[in-house]
Amino acid sequence: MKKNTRNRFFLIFAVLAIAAYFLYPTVKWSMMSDTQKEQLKLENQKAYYNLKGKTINLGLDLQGGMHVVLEVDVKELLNRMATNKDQTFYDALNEAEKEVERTDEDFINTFDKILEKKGTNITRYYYGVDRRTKGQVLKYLRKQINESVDRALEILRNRVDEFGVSEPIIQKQGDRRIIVELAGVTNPTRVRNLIGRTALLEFHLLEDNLVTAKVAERINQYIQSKISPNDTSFAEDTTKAKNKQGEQSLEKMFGGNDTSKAQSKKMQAKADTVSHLFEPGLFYLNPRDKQTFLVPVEKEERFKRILALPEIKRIIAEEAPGAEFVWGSKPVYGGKYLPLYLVRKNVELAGNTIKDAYPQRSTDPSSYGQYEVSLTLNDAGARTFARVTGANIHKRLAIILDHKVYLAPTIQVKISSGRARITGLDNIEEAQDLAIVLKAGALPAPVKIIEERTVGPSLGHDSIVAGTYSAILGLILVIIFMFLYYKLSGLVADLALILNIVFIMAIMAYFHATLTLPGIAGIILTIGMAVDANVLIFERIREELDRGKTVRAAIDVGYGKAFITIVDANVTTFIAGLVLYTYGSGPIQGFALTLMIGILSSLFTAIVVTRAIFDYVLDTRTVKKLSI
Amino acid sequence: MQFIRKTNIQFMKVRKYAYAFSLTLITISIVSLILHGGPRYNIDFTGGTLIQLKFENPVKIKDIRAALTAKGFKDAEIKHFGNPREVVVRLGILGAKQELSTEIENIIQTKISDNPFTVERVEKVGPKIGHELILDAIKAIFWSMVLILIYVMWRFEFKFSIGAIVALMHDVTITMGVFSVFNIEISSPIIAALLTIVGYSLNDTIVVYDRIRENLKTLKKGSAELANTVNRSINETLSRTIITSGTTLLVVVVLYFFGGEVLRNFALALIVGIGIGTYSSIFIASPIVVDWEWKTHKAHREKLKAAAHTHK
Repeated sequence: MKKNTRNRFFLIFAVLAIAAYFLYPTVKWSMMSDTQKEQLKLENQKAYYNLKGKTINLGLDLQGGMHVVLEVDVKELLNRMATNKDQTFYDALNEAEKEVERTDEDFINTFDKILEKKGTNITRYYYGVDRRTKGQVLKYLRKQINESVDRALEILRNRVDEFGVSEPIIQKQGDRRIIVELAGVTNPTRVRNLIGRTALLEFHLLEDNLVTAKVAERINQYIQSKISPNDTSFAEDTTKAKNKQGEQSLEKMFGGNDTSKAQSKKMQAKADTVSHLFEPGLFYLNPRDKQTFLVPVEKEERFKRILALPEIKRIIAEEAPGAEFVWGSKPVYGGKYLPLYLVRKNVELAGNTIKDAYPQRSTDPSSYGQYEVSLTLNDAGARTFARVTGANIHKRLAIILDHKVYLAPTIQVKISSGRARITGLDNIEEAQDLAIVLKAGALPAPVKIIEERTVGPSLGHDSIVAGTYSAILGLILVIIFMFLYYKLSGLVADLALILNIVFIMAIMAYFHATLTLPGIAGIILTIGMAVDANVLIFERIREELDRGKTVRAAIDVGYGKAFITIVDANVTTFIAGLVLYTYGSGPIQGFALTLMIGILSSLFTAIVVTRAIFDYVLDTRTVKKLSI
Repeated sequence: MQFIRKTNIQFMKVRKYAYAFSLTLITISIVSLILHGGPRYNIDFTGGTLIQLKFENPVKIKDIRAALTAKGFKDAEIKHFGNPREVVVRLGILGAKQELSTEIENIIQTKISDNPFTVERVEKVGPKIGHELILDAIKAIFWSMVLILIYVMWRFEFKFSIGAIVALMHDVTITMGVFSVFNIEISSPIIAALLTIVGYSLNDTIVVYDRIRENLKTLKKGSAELANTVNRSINETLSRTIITSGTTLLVVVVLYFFGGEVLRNFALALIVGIGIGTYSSIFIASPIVVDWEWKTHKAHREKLKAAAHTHK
């Protein structure tokens, strides 16, 4: 083999090895049963998400789920923020809504113009100390709209866990829209509740650290006892006995038929999963404050299940009757641990008493470079707050949004002015997020659903089956045709075609790209078009052979001349794909993506791979007649 | 095996007939589009609600219609989807409470209680989104054409890009026309198909152009007319054109028959488009280059003549 040819084979095998490496997680994932996946999620959440993040993602149209686009309801927001509302106001609001639907104009501008036409002024309804002129009011309203999108986004992110969807997508689109994608969720009412519910912001006191420490100790003891079963043969026995009882009674009820056996098996499996839950290092008590449980993020799922066990509930009921566990909103210490707080159930202060909250740089010289959030309470809130802070100095007050602790700052002094500062925040983003959360309880973030698409799991499954079936059938037909038409050379092209599909999948897996139904169509189309490069080359070679050239010369000329044509022809299709990707959305982007990847990869397989094979054959034996 | 050995078909001679044929198709397309009041957009573009239900047993359209009409949904469009057990209900409205789909489901459930169903698909699109989608689609088609033209102009000559753009518009118009004549809805995947056709048709056209360019280079200047060169180039690439179109059509036809109901119209658009695209790259794109050249040359010659005249 010539050095040149050998290098090319090295390149091809290297690419193939990389492709195999990229594809391995997807293959492994698809081989795993649902229970195995569940098992891995329990055992090692990190590994689970790590593996999942390396597979080809199935689009909502293939795995079933909901795609929802939300938009800030400007009309509703303007309505809720206004004061001194009169008939003119409502009329103008309704007129503005109709006009905007027709003209796509900016809502606030239109509203302002209509009000002017009606002989009144927008400032009348949105007057404030810091906004007296029309310009200031308009600026204020725009700011409120932008902030309400962020607020809605934050609230949704906080809530979406309730669905237990593995990879929820919640992202901002433009400056007024939010896209929510929930795989596997097909109940629109649930999603509507998630979106429509008002955010619940509350302040709760953390349980005393002595009590928390005691609870931690007992939970630890319980877990330890489960890890070394010798010490707790009693507990084990009871569960076993219970299982047996269940089995017996079921068998009695159903006369020992198959269902009862299946049922008892299920129960056995359940008992097994519980015993699998326990292992050392499930949680730590933060040594700094003795008030925060730190759960390693990969153990979150496990610990949640443990917390749901009746034994743990009993411990809490005995040690801290007025308290409950509430998870923190995000992981801490470099994202390694998720905080868990033991929080008193009593609501100290409701979030709707907050009038305003804004982030700022610390003015204290001692906390130079840090940020803080300043918040203002209404009169009722200020009175409550004065009482709460006065009675609980040096205790910690948790800020809880939709049942998640955002922050649990320590009460430093009694605050009776109704103005408080939450200090010690490390960066401006943290301060901004906290301000958003604090405002979520009182200020509206009205959104409306402007697009909603639901695909049932069975339709998605049917689509995958139909898509895969046509892809394989199309592939087989093209392979047979190429072999019949170009004989052995056709087989070389067929090999390139199969490699091409492997590469497309590998690239998609590497980018964790989403495969949609139109995406499958894109791959199928690529199958038909990918042979084009080889057809061009082979036709050229045939022409040259007809002119009496030797096999070697014909191949050289064929590849050389066809190359330019192939590039020119493919660039145009690629441009179409690129434009489609830019302007398309969702499934269409999936189509454009597979089309583009297919073009790039087919250039490699059709030119480099087939050439290497031809060269290898020509190098190793004397070929008088080419099978083409 | 070889379908086509050396051919010498006089494509250039029949080009007038091809033009006439194409013009007829384009006229029919435009007339149909006008008569139908533009393309028939689906709810992706118009906004509205779509509910796809899968019943356990075959269900009659008229039963569902009766159930819905009784509750005031008179203009609901109800159709079978692929088989008699599946039904698609379309409404032009979103419903004020945004609970419309649930309402429809409940009505059908109570009226046709002996035939339970599962909800396969629900799509609700606000009118604003649809409007934006149309704009995006137009932008997408416009920009892809502009970018491709720039590329063709850079790689070839201006006259070639004229031929390419005419062929492209020809393909898109006729494909839209076919959809209009058969009253098939334009959804966003169809737009994707149209853009793919744009790319595919150009792919074909450029292969021919490439051969023309090459043949123009190898031929001694003035030794042959452009028309002959073009004709020869089309003949030389004919085998490739037919085989590639053939394999592509093969897989798209498979997709049409086996790819499922959701992709059927998408596959249909591709079948029509690839057929038209192949035809246009042979009979339209290249002949127009020749006609353009003749016309400009004629104009050029006349200009020179006129200039000479005034000099006298």
